Amino acid sequence: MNPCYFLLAMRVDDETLAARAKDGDERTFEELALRYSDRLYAFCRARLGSENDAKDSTQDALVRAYRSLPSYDSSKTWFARVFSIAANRVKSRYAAASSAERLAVRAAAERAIADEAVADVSGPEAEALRALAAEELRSAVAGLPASLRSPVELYYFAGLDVASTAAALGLGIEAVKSRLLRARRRLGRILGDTAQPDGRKKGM
Amino acid sequence: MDSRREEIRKLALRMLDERDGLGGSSPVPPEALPFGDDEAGRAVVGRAMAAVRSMAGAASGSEGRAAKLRGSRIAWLAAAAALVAVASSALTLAFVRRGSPAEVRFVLEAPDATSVWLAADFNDWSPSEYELEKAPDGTWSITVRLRRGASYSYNFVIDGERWVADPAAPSGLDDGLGGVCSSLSL
Amino acid sequence: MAKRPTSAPRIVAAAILLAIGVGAFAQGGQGSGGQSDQAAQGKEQPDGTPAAAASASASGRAGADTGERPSSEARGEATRARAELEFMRWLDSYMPGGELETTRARLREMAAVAIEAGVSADAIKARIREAVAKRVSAETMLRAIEEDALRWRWVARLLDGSDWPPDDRAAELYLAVSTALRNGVGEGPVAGLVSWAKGTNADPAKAGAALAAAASISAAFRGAGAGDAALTLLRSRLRVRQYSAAVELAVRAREAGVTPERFMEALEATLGRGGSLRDLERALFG
Repeated sequence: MNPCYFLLAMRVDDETLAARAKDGDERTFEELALRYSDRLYAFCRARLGSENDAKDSTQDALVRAYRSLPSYDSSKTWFARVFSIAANRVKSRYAAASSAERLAVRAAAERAIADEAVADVSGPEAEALRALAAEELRSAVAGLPASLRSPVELYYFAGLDVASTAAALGLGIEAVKSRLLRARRRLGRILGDTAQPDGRKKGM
Repeated sequence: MDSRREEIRKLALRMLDERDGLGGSSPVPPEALPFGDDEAGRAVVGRAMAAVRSMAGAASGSEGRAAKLRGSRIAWLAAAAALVAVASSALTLAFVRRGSPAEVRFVLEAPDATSVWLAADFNDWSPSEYELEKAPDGTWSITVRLRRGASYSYNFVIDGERWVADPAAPSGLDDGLGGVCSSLSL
Repeated sequence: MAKRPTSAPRIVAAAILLAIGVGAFAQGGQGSGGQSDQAAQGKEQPDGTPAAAASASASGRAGADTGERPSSEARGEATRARAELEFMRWLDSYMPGGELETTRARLREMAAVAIEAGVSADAIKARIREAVAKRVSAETMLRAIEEDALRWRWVARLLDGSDWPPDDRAAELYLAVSTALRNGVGEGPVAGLVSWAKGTNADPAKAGAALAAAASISAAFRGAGAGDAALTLLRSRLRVRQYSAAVELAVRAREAGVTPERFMEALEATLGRGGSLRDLERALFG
């Protein structure tokens, strides 16, 4: 399927659903919620580092999105609104990576892969490895300035396309592309620099 | 451990490259997201819908709209008077169901403001969540769904920093933090 | 993105991480004091009796045994200890950073005393969030929470031993009480409302709304108090949405030179006797 066509089809559908949900149709709202719940969860999880916190924040964002449906303006994209609500929910909880819970998860994952060869790409060890890599990403992204962090979170963590990311941030597409490029370069430096044991100290 | 750390970071960069490889005009399938979880998103929707349904009660869409309240002072009185006048009418009792959501329109006249937000106890006082929209005549407004049978405290936040009470609300309350907030009962 | 392995290994990996994560957290929790440990142990006994207090009989029934607390009290203690722990965790993650350590320490102190007295931890959190959102200074926030905590502890004593309000509705009531007291509503009237609401299992949201309306009426009369307005409103035939109209009438009354005492008299004589807002309006303005 032509990606552009797919994107257009998805866009129109969201707004139609949102307009119907605005009239009070909860089932329609549920459909909308199901479309974005995975991405919302991934977005919150990337920010918060805790599954339970991410679930709470995602649920919270969806309920608030429902509540503010009456003032939903259909010229704005629905998911842009729900992501900005979610971003607001997690904003105050973007805690440092060294909280006790995350350290415990990290230690456990490191133990799980301690004796395994990296080349082994299947099994729970590979999953644990990816989990650790995701944590490294989190950590590196947390150190980015907010203007670069937001596009990264929407594009890489929530997996939105560039156009949707731009819509969610209220920016032009070229502006988003340029920020993503700058962010990618910085992350490359933070994560690729093996001389620095703690990538976060660099590039602040 | 250092070489292990290096491997993990390389994998992190590869995850970024994988996403880039899909192209900027394609969204990433949710199951392939770095922090994706096949079940979590769905489970959360279940819980969210339970909360939404308890807000909506047994009512269907049409009844919510009938209960709009306006924020101007005269309208408060008029609405109250209207309610007083028909207090014993079966019609009123029929559409005002306990626990069902009301649509409340918050209005502020602020033609010189560049932005106005609604911050309230029902959203943990976040000043960057409910943004009001400006009409050509300089009034800002937003409509929010709230449960009936309760009272709510709120402020307007002008230009991201000035917290003001609603000039149209009957009486301001000391919020204990050096400011005044407004209260409305639904 | 590379294809992920099938979900089964993923669940196993997640289970490993969760199990060890929970274990690590439980270890961290032990340092928080003997009382919490006892309460935690008490939680595991089927009847809620703390292990340390167990004698020959493990029964928690009050009166029959000497020196053993009733199981409901022990359960209450366990709940409060849990609430305190959870609050401290929340505070640390909500307000991270070295510069805020003194502020956090003072909040911890105040919260510990309050929660142990039965105050709703959610109410404390709500006020902290409000202070942070309104960007007040740490000093202002601490002063505000301190004042609120005193009021809340007073209310907690009034509610001691009662099931009302249910835990998930407690915060809104506590917040309504502190707002009312702060705006000049008297302790006597607040105590009266709480007592009546408790005794009749009133809707906590409605009770809170009545308190908020009384707070507004008092504010309309420049903090002169609202007499028994809160309880009068709660017991009246008014719906919650009509409380604002009653406040509006108080504002009109003040502007017309009516004294607060006269307003309360009229309120009692009309709404207090099953009358309507129309009746109150006529009583005030003819």
